Amino acid sequence: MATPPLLPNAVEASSGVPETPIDREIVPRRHPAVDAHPVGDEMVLYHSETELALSLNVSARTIWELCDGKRSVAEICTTLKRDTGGAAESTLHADVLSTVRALREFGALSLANIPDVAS
Amino acid sequence: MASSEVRIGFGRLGLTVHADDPEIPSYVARIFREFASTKPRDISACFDVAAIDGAYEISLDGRLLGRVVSATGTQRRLVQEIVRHVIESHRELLWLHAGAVAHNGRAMMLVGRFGAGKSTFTTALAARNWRYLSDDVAPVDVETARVLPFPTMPMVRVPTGADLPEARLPELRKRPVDLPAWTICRDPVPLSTLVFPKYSHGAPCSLVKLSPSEAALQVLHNCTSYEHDRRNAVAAASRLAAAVPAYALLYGEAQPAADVLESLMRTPARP
Repeated sequence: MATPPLLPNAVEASSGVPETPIDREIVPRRHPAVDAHPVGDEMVLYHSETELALSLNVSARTIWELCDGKRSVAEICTTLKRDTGGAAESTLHADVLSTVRALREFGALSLANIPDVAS
Repeated sequence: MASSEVRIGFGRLGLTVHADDPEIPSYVARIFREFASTKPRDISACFDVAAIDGAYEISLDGRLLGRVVSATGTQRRLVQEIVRHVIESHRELLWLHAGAVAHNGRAMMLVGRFGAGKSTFTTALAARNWRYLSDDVAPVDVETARVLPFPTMPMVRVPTGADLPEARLPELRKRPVDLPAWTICRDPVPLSTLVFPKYSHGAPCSLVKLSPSEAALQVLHNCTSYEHDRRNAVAAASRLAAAVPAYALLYGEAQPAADVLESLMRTPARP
């Protein structure tokens, strides 16, 4: 869903970040150094520490916006299932996991086992 | 050797180019013919080219920028330095590696690095009565979504007949194209279409609409402002891509591709 960074100095999205399993209770949290720029229904993220940009299609943008530091992956899937009206749960789960993984590898998300308590 | 001088103006910047060898300002004056200026500007700068020990030293306001052996190399380097200085003096604009042309009061930008076909299409479309805005570098006022004229004299690569790989395209000699004065557009024009051309030998012409976020990354990829202020460049590119439809053009022959661009401008798509 998230397309790879294209800017100068872009690095492979998978480099430097060890692959870790993401379970359903993990809570994705946005990195404060990432600016989000809506572009129509899509979005461009810019990480001011790595100076890389990433384009998000409509689906990836929706998942990014649900990654608010409060919802777990399971809750994101539940919200998406409710809003999209009946997409297969296994498909939704796979899409959410792959997008969260790509966003994490880009450095836009960190993963925690407990949600943010701050509003 | 008699020295010579030329004056150039863009926006609030006024430049003077002075050289011992009169051929050098003469070349610069030709490339920047449409920028000729005598009126005072807010900022001024002076490029100086001195012939010293068989080479040419290029300075800006007394600061040495480089030393070049050949006269033609000096001319090219000086043009690059002038463009660089204009860009650095107008960082509020989004500067793209792009040609730009206008038709019926709407501008099309042809965005890409060397060898993409910017000059090929700007000159081909100017020959079809489009107005000429720029050849190689074009500034956009993102606040108003207008392209500003930056009408350096177009330079097209002279084909050898051989199918050169992209990395060797810079080896091709360039020749200036002397456009008639009436084709030069002197006012900002609303930007209606972004096109990212790509040449591929023998490829049939195809035009594919880009999604807005793909277009934003392509704009950034071809943005000369990006190195100065990445954060603002991303914001500006995103705004531009949200407002203007963008297309990827793959082509193997220029004239059929120019036909496609003409028909695209007749029926512009909405973003």
